[in-house]
Amino acid sequence: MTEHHNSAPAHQQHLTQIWANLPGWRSLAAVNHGTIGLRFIVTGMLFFLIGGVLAMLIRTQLALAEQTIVSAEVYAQLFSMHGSVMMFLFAIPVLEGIAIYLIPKMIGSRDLLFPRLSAFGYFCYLFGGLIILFSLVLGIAPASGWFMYTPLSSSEFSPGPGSDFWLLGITFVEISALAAGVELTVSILSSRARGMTLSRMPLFCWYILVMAMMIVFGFPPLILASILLELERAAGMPFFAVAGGGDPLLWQHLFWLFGHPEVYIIFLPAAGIVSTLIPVFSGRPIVGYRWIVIGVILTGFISFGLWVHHMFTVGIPQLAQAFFSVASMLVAVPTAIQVFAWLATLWRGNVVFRLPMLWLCGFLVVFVCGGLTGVMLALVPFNWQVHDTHFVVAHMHYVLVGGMFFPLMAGLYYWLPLVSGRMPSDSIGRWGFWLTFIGFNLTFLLMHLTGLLGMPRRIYTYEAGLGWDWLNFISSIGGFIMATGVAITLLDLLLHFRFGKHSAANPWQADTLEWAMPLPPPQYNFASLPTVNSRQPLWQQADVAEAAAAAAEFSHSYSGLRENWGTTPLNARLAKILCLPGNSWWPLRCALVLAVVCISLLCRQYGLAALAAVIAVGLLLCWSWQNGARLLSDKPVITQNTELRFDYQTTDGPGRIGMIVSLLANAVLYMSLLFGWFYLWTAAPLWSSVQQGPVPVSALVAGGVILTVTAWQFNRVCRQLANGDDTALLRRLCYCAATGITHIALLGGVFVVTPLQYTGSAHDAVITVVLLYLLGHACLAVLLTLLQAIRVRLGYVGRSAPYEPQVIKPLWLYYLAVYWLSTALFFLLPLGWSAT
Amino acid sequence: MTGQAAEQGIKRFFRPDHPVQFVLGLAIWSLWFVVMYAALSVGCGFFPPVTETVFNLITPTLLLFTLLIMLLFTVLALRSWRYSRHAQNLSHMQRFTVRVGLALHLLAALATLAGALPVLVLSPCV
Repeated sequence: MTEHHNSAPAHQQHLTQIWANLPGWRSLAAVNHGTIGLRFIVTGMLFFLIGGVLAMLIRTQLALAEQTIVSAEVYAQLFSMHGSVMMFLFAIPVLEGIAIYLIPKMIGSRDLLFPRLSAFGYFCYLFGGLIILFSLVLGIAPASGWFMYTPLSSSEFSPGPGSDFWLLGITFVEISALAAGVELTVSILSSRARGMTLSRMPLFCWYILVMAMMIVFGFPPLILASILLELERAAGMPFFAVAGGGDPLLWQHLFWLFGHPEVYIIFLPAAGIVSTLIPVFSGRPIVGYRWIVIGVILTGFISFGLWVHHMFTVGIPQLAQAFFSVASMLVAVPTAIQVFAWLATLWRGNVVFRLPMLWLCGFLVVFVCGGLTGVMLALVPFNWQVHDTHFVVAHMHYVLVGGMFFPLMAGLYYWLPLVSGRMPSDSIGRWGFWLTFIGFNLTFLLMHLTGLLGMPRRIYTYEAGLGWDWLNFISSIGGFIMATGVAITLLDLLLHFRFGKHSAANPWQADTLEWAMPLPPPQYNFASLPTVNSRQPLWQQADVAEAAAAAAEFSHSYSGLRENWGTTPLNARLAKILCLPGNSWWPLRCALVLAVVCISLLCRQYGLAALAAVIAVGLLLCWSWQNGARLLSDKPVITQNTELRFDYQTTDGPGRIGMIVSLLANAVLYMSLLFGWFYLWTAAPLWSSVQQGPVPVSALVAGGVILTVTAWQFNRVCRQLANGDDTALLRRLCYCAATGITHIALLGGVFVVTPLQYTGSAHDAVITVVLLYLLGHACLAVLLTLLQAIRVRLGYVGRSAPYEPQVIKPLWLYYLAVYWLSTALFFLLPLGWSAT
Repeated sequence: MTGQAAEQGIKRFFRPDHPVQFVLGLAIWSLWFVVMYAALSVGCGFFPPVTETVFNLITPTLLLFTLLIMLLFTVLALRSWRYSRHAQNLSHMQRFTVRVGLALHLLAALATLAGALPVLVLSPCV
């Protein structure tokens, strides 16, 4: 195939046709990042409104002393749902939505590289959110706070289904976050515009890259904790019950292992917005690009070493507290690096106070105050004094509203013309900002004092005369002023779609690539592959917009399908052609069946849940089958003197990187389980391990040997294919599957014959989970190998298309590693320890 | 891949201009942090010191481990420093990687040092 040079309208029409969503209600099958990103943002804002109404109910109740507008039980539901909705259904998804919408446009790409995964993530988020909210409508919402501490959330103290709604719904939503984390990482690393090296990448993309990796490492501990607590509530496995050998503090550890990084998962994209906007409104490049990158990476790591500062009052040795106290103070350093870089940029530039800049000023004031109270809370003695008071509530809102909501509004105003092609109203927008800013500070600045005067959080009413009355009253007035400001702002955003003035191209004189597109941008973003040779392409390269719209490289589809350019992760050299999947119903179907699993578990209909789970696995496998490559061509494509291959013709690509990143998340889940095991072993008061393990270790070792042979054989198949040899490929894959099935039979036999008392002992409950985890992985690896064998037989995989087995290989290697690790640490080590 | 090529493949990960430097220093810091917390918890759980002073088995073990990690950071930072001074014709990306890596090694060392200071003044298991 060779390059064709079509006329401009013709090639753009051709691309429009290929990239179009289906019309009408069938647009539910859309997978394009622009559509999905906007759906995330709009849905998140709707959840935000619901969370806001709950906040107003809380402030109404607390406005005066001794009020009984709502009961204690309803109040507990209100604050639990307010926190959960704002954290899980608004903050993270909206920022993910912005990232999903913007990242391909900023890196000069046509779409994210797993578009159907984006759509699947959106539906998981939507259904999970609706399930949680439905509990509120029924009056049985979770009432144990947004961090669901055990034993309050355990079945003994929360016998109703409220906790189950939270555990199942939030886990469902987290699938969406993990999906976004994986695909954002892979897309940023594999599909940037030619020449956009990591050192030239827009800062927003650095922030999103670190955030995405933080999601991959940060969310699995909570997913594990939710699974364990749900197993305890539904099946009586005592992970958190002291009497059974568990420990309620394990929940706190697992929750905050997720919970504190989550604050930074929320903050980093918002800070990315700040780092993008400040140079634009200062009219100069950012000061200290390299230092900001250093600060972002530093934040990503250190934020994982702070989780115990939420637990300073639970009785941890003072030296351990000191480790976390120091780390909590250290995290202020990378944040300060960024703040000083922003201030220096403003100082050196000619600042234009347009509407987004106003919100950024609000951010700087509020967030710095929140950061300072954060350092105060990192000090152990001070933390003890204000623990569980309104001081902490005020600090948290300063950090989260200051660090996320204000930059979010700045970003929405800034990128609005990109979406709608229209400008917002400056005067209505300013009213919205000032009312929000004043109302926010009136509410939460005084709340610090309320907390210092001793008012605990989460009390539904209080006696008069304790010195809290006037503070609460003013806080409530401030809350309503803020709500008015937010309403005006949202109204402005909404009305501008109808009444806003049409925007000129690049209305803010920005420097990043997304403004090189027409407003609003086409679905395919760029008609041809852009070339970037500067950190500010729109300021340094005068012709970049024209070049990206012209009929040049990639301006027609070589395969007739949606195509994107694949570039190398570091230097962004053009490496291959990536075929992207188009509109599809698979994401919606799979998410719907998973919703059925979730609802069946809530209703304790375990048979139906198991059936739906089997159907879900079947659908996901069908989806993977359909997504797999069909051999379109076995020849490379020649584009402007460069020979390029389709991704399925190579042995590496986004799918393989996606598999590795997913396995990283999986590994973190496994390590969290390992942590839980050692934690219970060393800290649970009534932990009882057995002298002679109930699991026959010799059978496990035999299973391990068979698994090693299988993984080695699969690895050989992949190397053989990579060397261009597909001799006896089908037979070798069948052999892998057969030995894999033998391994499953042996492991399944171990599971069945072992007399595990999983409801009586936390030890046996953990062993049960470990065995199920191993069995699940074994089944998945064998199933995928069998599917590969069928695809080899049909000619979809072979010498000309050696890619797919390379995607599955990391799964076999990962499973091999965790199998032997589990055998050593869960089964052999306790026996050795008992013997000594 | 031949044995030599594989070795080359592994070696390139440790070059100061390889992007693994973006995460290497802080990954070591994370490991140090986890080991310190775990060693303290296990040490206090299974081998609690007899007296509540800093003179016990746990404190010197933690300090020795910190010293080793600091040594490692010094080596990594020195390598990056020498490379940035002596290497010729580095690309924009390579220069960026070396300098960011160097700063991150130094900051990770600083974080390790700050985190270990309380070991000098606090009894481990109180």
